[in-house]
Amino acid sequence: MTADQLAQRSETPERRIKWSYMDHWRSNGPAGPVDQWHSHRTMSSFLKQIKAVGFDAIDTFDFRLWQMYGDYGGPAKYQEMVQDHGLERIVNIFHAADYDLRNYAPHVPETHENILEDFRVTMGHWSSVELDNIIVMPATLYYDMEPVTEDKLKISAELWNKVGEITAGYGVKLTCHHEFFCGIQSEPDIEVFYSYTDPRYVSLFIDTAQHCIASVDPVALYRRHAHRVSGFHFKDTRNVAAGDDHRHRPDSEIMAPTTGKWFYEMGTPHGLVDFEAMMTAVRDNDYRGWISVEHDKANKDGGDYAESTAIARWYAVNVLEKIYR
Amino acid sequence: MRDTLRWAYALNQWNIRMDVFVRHEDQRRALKTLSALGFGHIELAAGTGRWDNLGRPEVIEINHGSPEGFLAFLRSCSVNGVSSMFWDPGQPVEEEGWAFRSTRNRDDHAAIVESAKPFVDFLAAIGAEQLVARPVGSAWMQPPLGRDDIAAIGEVWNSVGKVAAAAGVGLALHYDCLSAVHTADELRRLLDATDPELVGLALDTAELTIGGIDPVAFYEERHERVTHVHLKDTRYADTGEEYRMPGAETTMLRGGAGRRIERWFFELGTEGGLVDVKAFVAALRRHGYPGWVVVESDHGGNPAELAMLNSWYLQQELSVART
Amino acid sequence: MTDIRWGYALNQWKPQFDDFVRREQHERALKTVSIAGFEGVELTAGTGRWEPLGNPQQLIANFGSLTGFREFLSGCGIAAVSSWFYDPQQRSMEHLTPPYSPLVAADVTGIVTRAEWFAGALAQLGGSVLVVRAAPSAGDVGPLDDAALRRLADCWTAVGRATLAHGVRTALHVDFLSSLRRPGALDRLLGLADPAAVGLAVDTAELTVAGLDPVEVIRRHRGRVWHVQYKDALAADTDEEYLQPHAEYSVRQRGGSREIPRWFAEPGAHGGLVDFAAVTRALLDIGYAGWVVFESDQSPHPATSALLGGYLLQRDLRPVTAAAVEAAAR
Repeated sequence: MTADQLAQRSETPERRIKWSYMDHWRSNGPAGPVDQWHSHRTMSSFLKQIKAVGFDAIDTFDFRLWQMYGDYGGPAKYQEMVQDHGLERIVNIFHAADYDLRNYAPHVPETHENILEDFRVTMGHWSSVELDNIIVMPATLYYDMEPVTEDKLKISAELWNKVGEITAGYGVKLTCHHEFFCGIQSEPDIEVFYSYTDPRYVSLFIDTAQHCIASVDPVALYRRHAHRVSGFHFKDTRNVAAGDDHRHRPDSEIMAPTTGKWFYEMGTPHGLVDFEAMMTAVRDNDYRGWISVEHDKANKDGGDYAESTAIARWYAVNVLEKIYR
Repeated sequence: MRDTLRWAYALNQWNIRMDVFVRHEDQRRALKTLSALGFGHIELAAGTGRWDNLGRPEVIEINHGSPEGFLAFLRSCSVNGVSSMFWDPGQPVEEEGWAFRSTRNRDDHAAIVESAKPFVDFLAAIGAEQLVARPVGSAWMQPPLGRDDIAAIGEVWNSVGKVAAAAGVGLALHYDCLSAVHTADELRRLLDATDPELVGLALDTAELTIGGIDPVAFYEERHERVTHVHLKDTRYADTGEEYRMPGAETTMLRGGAGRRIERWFFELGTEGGLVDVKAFVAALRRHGYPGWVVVESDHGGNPAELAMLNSWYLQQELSVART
Repeated sequence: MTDIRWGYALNQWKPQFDDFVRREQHERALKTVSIAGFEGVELTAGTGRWEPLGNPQQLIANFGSLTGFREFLSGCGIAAVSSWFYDPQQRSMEHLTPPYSPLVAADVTGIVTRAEWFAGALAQLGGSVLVVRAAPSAGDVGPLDDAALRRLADCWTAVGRATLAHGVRTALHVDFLSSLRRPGALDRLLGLADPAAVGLAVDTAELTVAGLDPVEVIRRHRGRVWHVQYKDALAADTDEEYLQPHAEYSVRQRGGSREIPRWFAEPGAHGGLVDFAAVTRALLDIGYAGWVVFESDQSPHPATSALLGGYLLQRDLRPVTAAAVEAAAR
């Protein structure tokens, strides 16, 4: 290394945290809102905007696979487009499954073989790109799992141990993301669930807003399980679920009576997540790797994805990176 | 932005109607958006009334206490300062009794110089460099310019320029596509009628292009007079006489000029853009342009999205480092 | 009075799967439709918990019962669900069934069962027409030869007979991606299907984009027009791009090689290609009795589209129907 390079390095030390953006994008098309998969043009515009504010990479949903094949020639080809826009790669995929007690329910053993087969197929589809995590909601909707018993948690954990073994075979971590409306969302249930999972095969993915909504302190949860946390969704909320919000039929996420919009970008006024404490905990545990920013349904109630994304990055640069970067 | 050129961003694209972009939190979101995109300075635009609360020095003071208070507001969003402010003395304002003034009319000159003073003082107080002014009103609203008209217009701007210079602020006259000063020759005559020590040109790449003037060629020709730049793109040029349409602000720019043009101004790098942005910026660099380059998208669409696409273009196509 | 009833299709309010899920959004849309001068709404079949108006099971889950939903509608000033649009190619999460094709004989039972499900609910909601996507996209299934048309006719005849048992008629919706736009194809299909069981849903915009004149189609199939959708077309598929594979995405959604920003709009939109007064006169000429449902398909401003549609209805079309009534009285 030359002296110049060394000097440059001391000026800009290697970052321990990189930032990825989780796909929930909408923009205004001529006939109403469209997502970035609408066309190559909207995809390019999306990637430019993500890059412009300084994100390093993207996360996506695994159901986008079909659009990747149809429009870009598969995940590897799509990733080339991502890279052409100056972003590193696809870091994580979110496995959005259609949970159903009849054929796809982690606490129902009869459905396990179907779920395992789903992951065998899915991981094969994605083997052409390097991924860090495949993220799952580890349970059905709360109302489909209740009463949540230790037995059900154990059965679920056993399933995810097996799934994690499959994904590990592809070099990808299986990691669990606890939506406030899923069957494993309370602090005691999360603790029991992890006590039955194998740390080699099942990781924890901290979603700051989801935990907060479920009255779980995400910082404390992270500090307890830091050794097996494989990633984060940094987003904020202004509301804690009240009453039956978490088990509202037929849906809690959009249809809860108390709250029309649960999620906001970090840096939002009246946000309940203590991101500075979160980042301090991340620093204290010497976490190195990716933090994902997620904006779920940001365009509701007059919101705007582009602006939320910029505000979140502003917050990361001006507040969080002062704590740890 | 870390670059040899100095980059700023115009806030006008957020202020699309009288009742929007009034609350401070909305303004904070815009400022944070620009900061996150690497823009450390902004351009303001003059306006009128209590809902245009970034539009006049006295209204800004009511909102933020003082010029320092306003700077503190910007800095709370990691925006460092103001590059410039756009002002059109021909636009009647509530604060001046809706007086209708024309730079062609020598009887109005004293009042125009007087009304410039608060802007100049405010810009000096916040460390901004340029008062960017509309030199003359729209072509459709007035008879064609005679030689003496240009002389009269030059006189008032020399006077304003003197006031500005005394405060350490530059004055840059902004060409726009509807202006009575329309052709390249008229623009040259206007520049020749003003004192180069006191009055510069604010070159707006899209406005010149729509008006039928090649911005790169004109910059090459008169680069020594260019003291301010607005960088934006367009996909259309005036067919020749559209700027003379009655109510051209509405009928041409908003009403599509009868050609169903939904939008005249576009972000840098837009498909089918008529401005050779790379050649223009290369010319700025070649001549060691010292002023501000203000990126603008006017009223073209979703403001945050446009700012992000403009920043992407600067970073990826013009190799400007964001931080 | 004529025998035409005016409705509005709700699909324009749901551009994305996470839109138009909450009750208050439905309420605002229904009140908008009502005050714009429409008495019914058309639903679009959907699946899953974010499609609360998508099928009978979701309606019951959300409103307690179909009666509960009907009360919700009438509370918003809407008298009835006019019709339900059903595309058998949509999978069902409620039934764990894959996409069905009306061209596949083995799928017919499944399609009939599902159609009955919708028809039974529709009857309770005051509706009278199940609008079905008559054929898959041309680019995905190739040309419709005589055998294929016969399979379609058999499927829809079976469906039509089943829905009639609920007092609901089945009307074939021809969209611009379908091979039914080719010369003679629709005539042949209607000829093969049981005329007592299967009618036609005329969608003014789809026909126009396909290069067909809706007035001519109405006159030609005068006895078979059982449902009408009024939407405007802003461009026509003059280059037969509908024959491309995956035209649903590449042509319909993205506008094809010309990148048409928007094929469809609310009736009367600026630059629209459909002459709605002429279409209305044609309907009156054939003595059409039934629903005319306004649609924009998608819209940047759904409420604006509904109000512009209401203006067209009140100012331009009702005078046409009133004149016809007056003439008949004389």
